[in-house]
Amino acid sequence: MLLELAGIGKRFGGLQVIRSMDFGVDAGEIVGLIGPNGAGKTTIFNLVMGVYRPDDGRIVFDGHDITRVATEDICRRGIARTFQVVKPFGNLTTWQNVMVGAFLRMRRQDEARAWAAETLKVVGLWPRRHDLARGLTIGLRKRLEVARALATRPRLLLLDEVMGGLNPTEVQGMMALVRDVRAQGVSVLIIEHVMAAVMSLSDRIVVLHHGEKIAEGPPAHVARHPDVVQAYLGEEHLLA
Amino acid sequence: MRRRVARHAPLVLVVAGVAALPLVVTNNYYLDSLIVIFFWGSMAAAWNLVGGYAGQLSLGHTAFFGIGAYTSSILFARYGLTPWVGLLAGAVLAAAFAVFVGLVCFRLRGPFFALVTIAFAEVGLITASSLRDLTKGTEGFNIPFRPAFENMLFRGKVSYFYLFLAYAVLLYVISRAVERSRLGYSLVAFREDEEAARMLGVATVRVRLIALGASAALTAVGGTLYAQYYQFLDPASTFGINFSIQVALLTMVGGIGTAVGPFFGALLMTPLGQFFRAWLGGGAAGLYLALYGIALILVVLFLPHGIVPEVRRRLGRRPYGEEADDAA
Amino acid sequence: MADLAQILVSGLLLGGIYALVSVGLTLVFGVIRLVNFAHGEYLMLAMYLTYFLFQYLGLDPLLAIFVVAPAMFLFGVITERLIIVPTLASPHVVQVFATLGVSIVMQNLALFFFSANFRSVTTPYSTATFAVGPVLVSVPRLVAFVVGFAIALALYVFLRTTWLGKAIQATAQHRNAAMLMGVDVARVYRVTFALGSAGVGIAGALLLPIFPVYPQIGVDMILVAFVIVVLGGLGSVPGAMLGGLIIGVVETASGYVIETTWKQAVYFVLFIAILVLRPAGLFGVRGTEELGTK
Repeated sequence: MLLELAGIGKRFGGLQVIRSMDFGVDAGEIVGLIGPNGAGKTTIFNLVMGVYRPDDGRIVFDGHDITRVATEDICRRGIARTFQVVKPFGNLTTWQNVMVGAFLRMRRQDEARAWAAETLKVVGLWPRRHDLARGLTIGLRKRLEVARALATRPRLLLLDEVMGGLNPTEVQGMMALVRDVRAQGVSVLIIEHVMAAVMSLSDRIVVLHHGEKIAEGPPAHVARHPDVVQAYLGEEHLLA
Repeated sequence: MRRRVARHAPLVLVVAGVAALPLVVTNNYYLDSLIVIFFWGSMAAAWNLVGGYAGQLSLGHTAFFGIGAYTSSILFARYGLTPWVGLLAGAVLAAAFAVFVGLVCFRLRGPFFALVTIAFAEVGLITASSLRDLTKGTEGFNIPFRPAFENMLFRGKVSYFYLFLAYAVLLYVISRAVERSRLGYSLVAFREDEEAARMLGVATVRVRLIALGASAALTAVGGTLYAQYYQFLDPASTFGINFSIQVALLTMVGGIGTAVGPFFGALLMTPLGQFFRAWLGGGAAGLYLALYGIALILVVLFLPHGIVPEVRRRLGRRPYGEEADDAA
Repeated sequence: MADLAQILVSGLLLGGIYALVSVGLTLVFGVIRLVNFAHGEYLMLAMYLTYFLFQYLGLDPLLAIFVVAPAMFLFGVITERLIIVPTLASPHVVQVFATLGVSIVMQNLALFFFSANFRSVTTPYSTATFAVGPVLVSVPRLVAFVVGFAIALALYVFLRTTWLGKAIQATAQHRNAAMLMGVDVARVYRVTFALGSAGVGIAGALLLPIFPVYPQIGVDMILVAFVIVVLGGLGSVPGAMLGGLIIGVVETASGYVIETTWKQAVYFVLFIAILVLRPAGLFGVRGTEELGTK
């Protein structure tokens, strides 16, 4: 297991948002994390990235306990994330944005610049390299988030609703990108509401509801799972 | 090689042109004006490292200025230590103080950080006024005029012109170097979106401490130069809040977070200030400063990023960072 | 022992006035999330207004409240519209410098128009005192305390019981939720700022019989106000009231032992210490100083 959550629990005040969570991501996998709103998916990301400390349990990455590691060190160790509501560095260009990520691994500007250029090309943002981030459309901003995270050379990429707000063409493009990312040896944990996408991309799916894991397994199995169907009743999501 | 020459040529030409000015300008008033512009440009550029690139609004920079000015002056007047070394002592002291302030206060955001820096600077002011044995308090501290290169004291204005010019160039070069470096990108990332920066591995506390320490040290050296030029210090002019506001204002007018912005701000505002002071100063005490306050409000409301980024935007260029940085 | 009682009484009386000066500042911060660097100058303006009403119309400062409060309320509305509103969506540096700019303009216009001279008023009861046992109570200070405290209390009741007051509190607690509940946030901001302005205006009218007015008085008072606001907890009206009383006593007590310049230093150090060690103060909302104003 590349990433492993064991017995994770998290409370905010009196509210138990995550309860006894066990799951993991293997090297080379794409794991989908789904569940109704408020299930705790982004909280999981925040726990992994050290934004919150779990009240119970451990998080282990690549054999090292990272439960208490500071956020900036998490990325150094090889986990990068994107945000549900994109957070670009608005006053910088696309290229400059990605360079921030590149500088994690490289000290020299020319190396960072070159690596950022590589990443931009892979992600398909090279033609927009001089555009100001704040002027980009939502689809391009989502791409930029991914590019920036990729520039840090992660072993594991956490994608938080990276398809949200994209039109069908853009969704296809993003799906292809996620597959490319995995092909380069980066494991992916993806939170997604666009069911068609996540069912198609994931090797394995973990379903959360009210902070608990209610199902886990291959997409086809999970889609038919009675608890999963129950959890989604009344929600406006379409299962694949 | 050719690209490097091309990239640096504009700066070299400008500096050479300015350096040649004393050959044609002999009027002391104009030389003094230029020295003042170089001085404020450097001080604003030093502030810009932390206030502009990192977006960490300090209104207490006068403390570093005062520490630098008094440290080297006391060491020179009392112990005969050459200001060329004394400025290092001032810089180290100021940097240490800055790191302390940063460690203690970086959690605070926006106006709160500004308020705390003001408080620290005021404590500095009170201390400088009260330690009369050391600083001569509000009477003022005189630097004995023994002109010699090793005393950093010169007859006439020309040597000072080159001293302040050299310092201004140094500050510009440092700003550009930071801007293109890993440190610079980390600072700007912090400014633009702290959470995202941390997620990308930026050590936000450490880089800000470095920036603040460097900013403090460079401001302190400016204090030494100031002391050697005017040969007189008093707490109000070296620890007063006006210095803090001025360096921030100049940077904001010229262009926050750009290397040339602070210098442009100084170039624009210094003659303007002199003009207004001459026109209104004398009898109408207060009116000149009231206009200054109005200018501050207008700049802040209409050009929050300053002139340089706005001009660049209009020209279709990026507001921050320069095209010359791109390899491809 | 009698000395101690005297310090306590004088300190509390002074503190009541300080509380009224600070209540506006903390309210504006709590609701609008704005640090108004010009707050002290609003006090100065109110004091000058009170002074001129006394000089030219013979209006007693206590009665002048009925003129000054509405005038300052209006002034608050105008400045909020002109200067505050454009800065609300901008980065912090813009807000800080906008209010700092207002402060500089007001101070220097006062200097230009009114000169640097200290101006004070002497009313028939200016120096009146009466004794309660061994303790001397200054009448103007007592009056100021009673009126000031009453106003602060009225404000507190207003916030708790009226619809607008609750809307203001709601906005302070969670702006977006308040908007979703139909609260006109822009109007709340305007009213809050104007109330803060009127409040400090009343404090100015009450202060004039006790302190002289001069262009820099805002700068001198604002420090104490910030310490009180931070001590009481940013955004808490009861906190400002209690903080005011505490600082009033501290100020009076230390006036006996420390000389003025070092006393100022003590305030600055106290201010830094509170923000660093217990930023929420006595009653404030934790984390606001870390989350900043957005």
